[in-house]
Amino acid sequence: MNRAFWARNSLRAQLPAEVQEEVRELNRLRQRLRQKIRYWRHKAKSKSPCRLTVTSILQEKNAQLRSLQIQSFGIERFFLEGGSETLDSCGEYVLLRARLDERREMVCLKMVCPSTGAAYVSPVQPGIRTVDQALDWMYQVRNYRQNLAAER
Amino acid sequence: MYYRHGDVLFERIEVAPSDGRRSQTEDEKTGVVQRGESTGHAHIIDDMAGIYLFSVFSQRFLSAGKDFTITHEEHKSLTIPEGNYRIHIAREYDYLLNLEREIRD
Repeated sequence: MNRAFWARNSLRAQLPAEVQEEVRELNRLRQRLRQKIRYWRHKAKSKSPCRLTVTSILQEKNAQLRSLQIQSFGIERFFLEGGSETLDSCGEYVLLRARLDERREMVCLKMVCPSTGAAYVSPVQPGIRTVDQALDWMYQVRNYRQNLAAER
Repeated sequence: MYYRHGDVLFERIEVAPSDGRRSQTEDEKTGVVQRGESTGHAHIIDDMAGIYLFSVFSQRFLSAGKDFTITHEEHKSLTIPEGNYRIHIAREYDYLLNLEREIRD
């Protein structure tokens, strides 16, 4: 135990009983949140099956937890099942955004494979606002769509 | 001018980098442009005669003295005209780790 711990504890002892109880409750909540984050971080990394739905993910208030739940649920599945808004679209390309909170967002580009016709979603850098920006970022080139000669 | 085959993009360039810095892996010698990690599927150049696929540090290039065809188990074949190309592999953003990385399939 360090000096800061004892100083904090002696200060806490001087607080009124009801305030002390509030502090204890806050600490319990923080502890529970930390456990949840650890659990969902493990789930997201291991990609193990879970009983999440798009609605339950969007109802999660904590942004870090929500982000981990989206990873665990599958980014592609989350965006395709409607947990997102459209930022831009161009032909078969659609740029989608899921808001994690007021500041954090997740942006993905939905593409259709010209060979198989299958739709898939690829996460792109946050802050990207147009399909062209997303394609240029993805392939690290300039003016992808204007210079594309063939694709399969 | 760009040619895209799935996650692989060929960007036509005027001149390929000089010989001194070139290196070649076993996959590059056999015409494997990109190999899928989980599926085992690969983007492969059909006939490597007259084609030189190589790396300069982490960037990959291709010099083709003739038109070549690239195949993949899931994608239709694509024929690309002769010339020098820089190869780009599509990247994605990992929101868990907050970093960008090449797409793996």
